[in-house]
Amino acid sequence: MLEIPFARLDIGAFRGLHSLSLDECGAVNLIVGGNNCGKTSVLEALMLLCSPFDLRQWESTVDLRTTWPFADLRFRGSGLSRLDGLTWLFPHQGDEIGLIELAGGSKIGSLSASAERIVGIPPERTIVTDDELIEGLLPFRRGTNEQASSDDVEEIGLFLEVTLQSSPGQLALFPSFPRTYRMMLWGSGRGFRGRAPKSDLRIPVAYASPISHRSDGYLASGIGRLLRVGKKNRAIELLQRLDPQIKNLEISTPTDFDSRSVLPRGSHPPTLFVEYDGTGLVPIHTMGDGLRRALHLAMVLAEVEPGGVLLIDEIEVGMHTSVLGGVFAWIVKSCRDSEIQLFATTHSLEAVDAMLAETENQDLVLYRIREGKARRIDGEQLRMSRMQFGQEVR
Amino acid sequence: MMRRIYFVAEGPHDVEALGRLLSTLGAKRVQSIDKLDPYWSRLVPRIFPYEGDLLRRVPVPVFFQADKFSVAVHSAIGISEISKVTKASLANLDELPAAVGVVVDADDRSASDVWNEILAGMSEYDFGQAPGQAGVSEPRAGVFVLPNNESHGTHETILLKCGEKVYPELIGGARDWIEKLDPENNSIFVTANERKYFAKPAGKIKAVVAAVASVLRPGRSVQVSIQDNRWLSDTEALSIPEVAALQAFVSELIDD
Repeated sequence: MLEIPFARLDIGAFRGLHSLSLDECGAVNLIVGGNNCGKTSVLEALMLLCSPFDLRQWESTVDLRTTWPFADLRFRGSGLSRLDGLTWLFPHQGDEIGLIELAGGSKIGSLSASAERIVGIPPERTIVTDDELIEGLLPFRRGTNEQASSDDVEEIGLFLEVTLQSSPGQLALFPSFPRTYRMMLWGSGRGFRGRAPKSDLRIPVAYASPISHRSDGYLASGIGRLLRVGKKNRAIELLQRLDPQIKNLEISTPTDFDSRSVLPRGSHPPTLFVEYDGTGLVPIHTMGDGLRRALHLAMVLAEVEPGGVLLIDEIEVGMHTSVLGGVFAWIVKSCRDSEIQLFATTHSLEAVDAMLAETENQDLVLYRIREGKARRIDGEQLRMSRMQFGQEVR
Repeated sequence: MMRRIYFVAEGPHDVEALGRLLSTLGAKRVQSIDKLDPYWSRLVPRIFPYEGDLLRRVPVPVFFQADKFSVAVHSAIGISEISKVTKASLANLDELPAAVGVVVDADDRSASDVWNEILAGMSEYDFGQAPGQAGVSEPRAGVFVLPNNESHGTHETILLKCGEKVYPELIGGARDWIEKLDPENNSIFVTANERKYFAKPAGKIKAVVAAVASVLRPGRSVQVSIQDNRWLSDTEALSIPEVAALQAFVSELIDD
């Protein structure tokens, strides 16, 4: 069995979850439970623990629940602001913002984070040190032409303080624990795209949401990554499990013959095409949900460096039950080959059964979340419950 | 508060016997899933056939319900499966039951040997100090080794004693016939398959019980006869020490 990044997960407090533990995690972890029980929150907690001093990781964690891959820009304004999104990662009691408390049995140790709403005068440029990040302002306010920066104008902001403590047995590895990082963020802040501070405290991670495969542009950009890391053929192999007629994947710029296009002639973005045996190139836009989902899973898996974590929300989405086994076999093998730990949520018994069929007992754990607690069922017990007794385990 | 007790037994006859004793303690068998305590719903099978076997019996526990307690009795089909079945079932429940009871046959082994085998497979539970007793930690757990936590024998050993009290003529007649049969007689038992079950240590006892059961419920199994006839419900049968001990064991796990 591979050495897994997260031996366990303890959520002291995160979003609506309190005192929830995933004990003795496996290489492959399925998370089940009713709607709104906190399955996605568990994935978000893991995501945050993978790089807790990286502002981008905090923002990405907020983004997991947004519909941005749809590029549904018309309605995006109805969502939470960036700072509100960050604030709602924290547990709330009335107007009080509580602490986030997480621990993962990993090299990251345990995390404690606080958030405080502030009012202040931001600097024009972002200031980054080993201990803090103070955001500068965007040149223009989000969504307007109004100039954001002006002298001595107060902004509403959010002050995040993140502290990592060592877990038992970690002192020798990280003698400088505890470490604290502070982030001062503004409503019109410009974010930070530079190298994350203290990047030794990072576990590679990628996340597939239930809807992110529906953005054509997102898929096309992901193929670029697959090409760069030399994994296009692996992705094609996965797609062939859904449709054996698929031969290749290509990125191309489509011919512009639509006079109503809002884009200047010849300026269409590159589009992803699937090459079929006999039919030729077909744009991904016309493909069914299952193929797009499978392609997306191949993309996110390629993003994770060996020793990292893959998080998949609703792993069965888009796929017919008859192909789940083939797709899961591919995912499990790919994760095993690259020593990647998998956490996936599902609502589907067929998905549980398919994962059982493709995973060794000692690698698989199922957690059922109910009333704020996680019930652990190991691979052997799960196999017996499902295969011998045909029981409901969700 | 409703008290939940999970029993696992070695075979369907044991399950039926436990059901009979539970009836004497005020519990009724639950037939409709609508009436089932939701706590047990995860133990109800949802798929068929199991592992592709069209002939395999649906492995659903038998459920019993009383005002203050509800019980699931699972058949493990063999002592080697007891710990696996129990662990898988308890892991799948949302929370542990108040008590866990195991009922197994001694067969030709000593009761303590069987008891130790069960304990080795389920070391996380407190099974008390000896077979027939229950531990004090939650969930309360105990192992009853049939027939009486001491002697060799099986569930049919008890049934035979019950039958001698309740159906003496039928037991006598069946014995007269079956005791004379020699499992080594090749003219009676032509094939090895015909011989092997009767030749087992408990073969003749099981045959006597089954013969009487088939008189009482022709064409049906022993467990149907246990359910429908007086094997374990007659006052005289309940006064037999082995039956009284098993009933006391069940009561101890059910009571707060």
